[in-house]
Amino acid sequence: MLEVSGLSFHYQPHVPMLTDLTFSVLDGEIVGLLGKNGVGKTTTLKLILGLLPLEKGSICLGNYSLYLHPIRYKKQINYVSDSHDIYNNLTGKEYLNFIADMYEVPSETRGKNYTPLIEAFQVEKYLNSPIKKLSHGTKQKIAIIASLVNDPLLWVLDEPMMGLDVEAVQVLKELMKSRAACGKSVLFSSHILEICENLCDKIVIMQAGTIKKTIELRDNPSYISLEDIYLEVVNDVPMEQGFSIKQNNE
Amino acid sequence: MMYRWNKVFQLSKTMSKINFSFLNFRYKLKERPDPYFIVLACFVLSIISVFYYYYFRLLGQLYDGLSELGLGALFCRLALFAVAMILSIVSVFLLINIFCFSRDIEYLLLFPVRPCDIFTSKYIAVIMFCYVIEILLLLPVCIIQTQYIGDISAIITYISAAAILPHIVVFPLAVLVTICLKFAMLLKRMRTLLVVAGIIVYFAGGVICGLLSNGQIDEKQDLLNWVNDFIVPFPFYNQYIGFHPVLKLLCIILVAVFIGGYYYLSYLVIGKKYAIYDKEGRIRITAMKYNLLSKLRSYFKKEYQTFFRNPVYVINGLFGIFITPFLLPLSFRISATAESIEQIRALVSAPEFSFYAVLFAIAVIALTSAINVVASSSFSREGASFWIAKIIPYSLMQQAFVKALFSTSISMMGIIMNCLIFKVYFHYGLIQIGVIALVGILFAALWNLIGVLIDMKRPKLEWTNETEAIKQNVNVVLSILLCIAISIGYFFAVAKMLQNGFPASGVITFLLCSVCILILLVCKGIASHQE
Repeated sequence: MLEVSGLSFHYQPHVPMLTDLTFSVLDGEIVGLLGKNGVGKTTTLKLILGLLPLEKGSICLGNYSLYLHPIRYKKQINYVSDSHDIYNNLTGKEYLNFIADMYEVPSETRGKNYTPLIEAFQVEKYLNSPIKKLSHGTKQKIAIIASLVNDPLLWVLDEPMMGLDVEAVQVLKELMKSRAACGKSVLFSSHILEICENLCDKIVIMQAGTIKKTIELRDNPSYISLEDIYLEVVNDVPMEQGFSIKQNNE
Repeated sequence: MMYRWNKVFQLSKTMSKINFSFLNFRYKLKERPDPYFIVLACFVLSIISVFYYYYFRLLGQLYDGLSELGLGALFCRLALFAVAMILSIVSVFLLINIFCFSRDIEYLLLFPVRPCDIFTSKYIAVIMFCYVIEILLLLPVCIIQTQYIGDISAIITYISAAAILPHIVVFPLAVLVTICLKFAMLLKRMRTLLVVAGIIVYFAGGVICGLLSNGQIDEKQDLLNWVNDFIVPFPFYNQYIGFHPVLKLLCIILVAVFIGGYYYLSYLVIGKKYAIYDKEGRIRITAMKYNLLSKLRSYFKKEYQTFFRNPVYVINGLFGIFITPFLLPLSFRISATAESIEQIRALVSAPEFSFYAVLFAIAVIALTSAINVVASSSFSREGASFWIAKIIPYSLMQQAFVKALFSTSISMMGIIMNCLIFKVYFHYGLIQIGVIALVGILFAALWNLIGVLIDMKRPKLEWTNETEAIKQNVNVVLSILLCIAISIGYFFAVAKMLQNGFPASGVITFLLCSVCILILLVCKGIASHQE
């Protein structure tokens, strides 16, 4: 379980990016992070991953704190970046092996972890080419495959659907569901509300560096679309009369 | 027509900003600068001022010296020749950077601009840079000569020579690059390799011709005639210098001719179609093999692969390592006679001078390995992929040590090269070579650790062109300056010890122990870096 409490961050002095952010991701849960551009979604993910220094607050995954046990924390987590910037001069195979080496994954296990993913994403023929020669979507697929080598407790993805073809999006969605079914957690940010609505157990809507609303989608009445909820929350525009929103935290 | 040329010049300006991001520092001045930027700006300005001051003094002393020998007329020739040499080297890097590694074409082709116009603007961007460097170098020369002669004709000579010199230097290289690019287009592969190979062959041919024809002053020539034959800034210089000032000014028209030449070259390469191909990656279906390596070996392998598969890093990182060892025997070859080299070899092996020969060799190795760009750009070269370094369960401290180990292995190539030259050319003994290698490796390890530590603190991660990570990286400059400063400190310390009669073993022990202590201190600095 990921617990984030009291997270605050500034990129520039006196200009807060995040203010007192608190939320959690339970085991087996898929959590979507939504919000307008620039509200701090990627910043939140980067803080959780240790890509940005922790200024205030705490981040714990299971028994390990990011601040106190960074290496053990990182062994349980993995990430798919939105920018697909991976080592361009390595081939796909070399990159997969390198990531597996860093996570100390034995040869047999990495074969078991990688092979079905390579077949599912259909990237076998691209693995011997330098990554810089691959298309945007193929790079993303290789990054996704590499991020699952250590079977992470928490899988973090930033705009994972961008650049993927239709089949790859289906594969990715199935992967996320299967991981949640196995008791692993998934945290991702996206702007595609339909995908969040179909996949997520919980939605965290951010605004101005803080959490505006947390919605348990299990309890959301089916006649209210996520888009309506999102727009109401983000724009403070009340929905049409006759609808009422039941949200867990109200 | 004028509209097209206006577009070409606008493109050149944009290309300069894309490829050389340090030009965008002026935007920093519009924002509120942070203390780091202010300190850095003051530091850089002071270095530049000191350099310029000593450059002025050196030129003044050179002119006085030449005037006393009755060779005042040589001053202009020497200055223009030196600038021509510098521009040759600079233009090589600029041409390779702009034609082979720049990604601006991918964006510029979106616009309604002819490909040949884009190409012409690339040539002109290189020329503009050459002009800037030339003005910085020649302005003091012109001031000094005008001051002494008191004649406006010197200014006219320098203005017209400065206008045409970059074109004379760059145009043959531009023709060569064009031919190589044309071949690359036809072969649909190896663009960078062909261009670099072509330039290496061009320079190697020039150096060999120069050495064969004018390497040594023989008894039949006197110094002045040798200088007049060898020190020629550009082909028709001897005739040019005798021209009337008005005719010299008219030579500036050649600039327009050259610019037209660049346009013609561009048209020759690509015409109306853009067709600089890269070979498509071969698709091979092979069975996946998983090789388990320890983290250290895997990370070292990754460093090796990402470095050596990038021509920018290879050229910039290995240039100094492989070229500088050859400069020493080359300088002896040009300036010394056969008898004096034998004398040097005899001194090296003479018991009373062998230790000084060892110290000299150690100094050469320490100084040449201080000019190290690999270590001080080790984190910067990660660029946008730096997030991987922070995500993986391998601490930054350990990654830093592996990077230092990798860059030390690169430095060792240079040390081996130096030791081979000392052994083969200067006839150093095996024990001498052993001591030189041991102390040299320790110094190289120290410089590499310092470079990694400096880059670790504030890596330059935002770049679009790989050369920015190395050549436009302040960490590289700081690291080189610091290492040279430490080397100078060692020089004075050893000189003092020798003055006070310390034995050879004591000096070597001091060097070994002090370098080891510094290495430990730097390692501690790396270990204490907070992620």
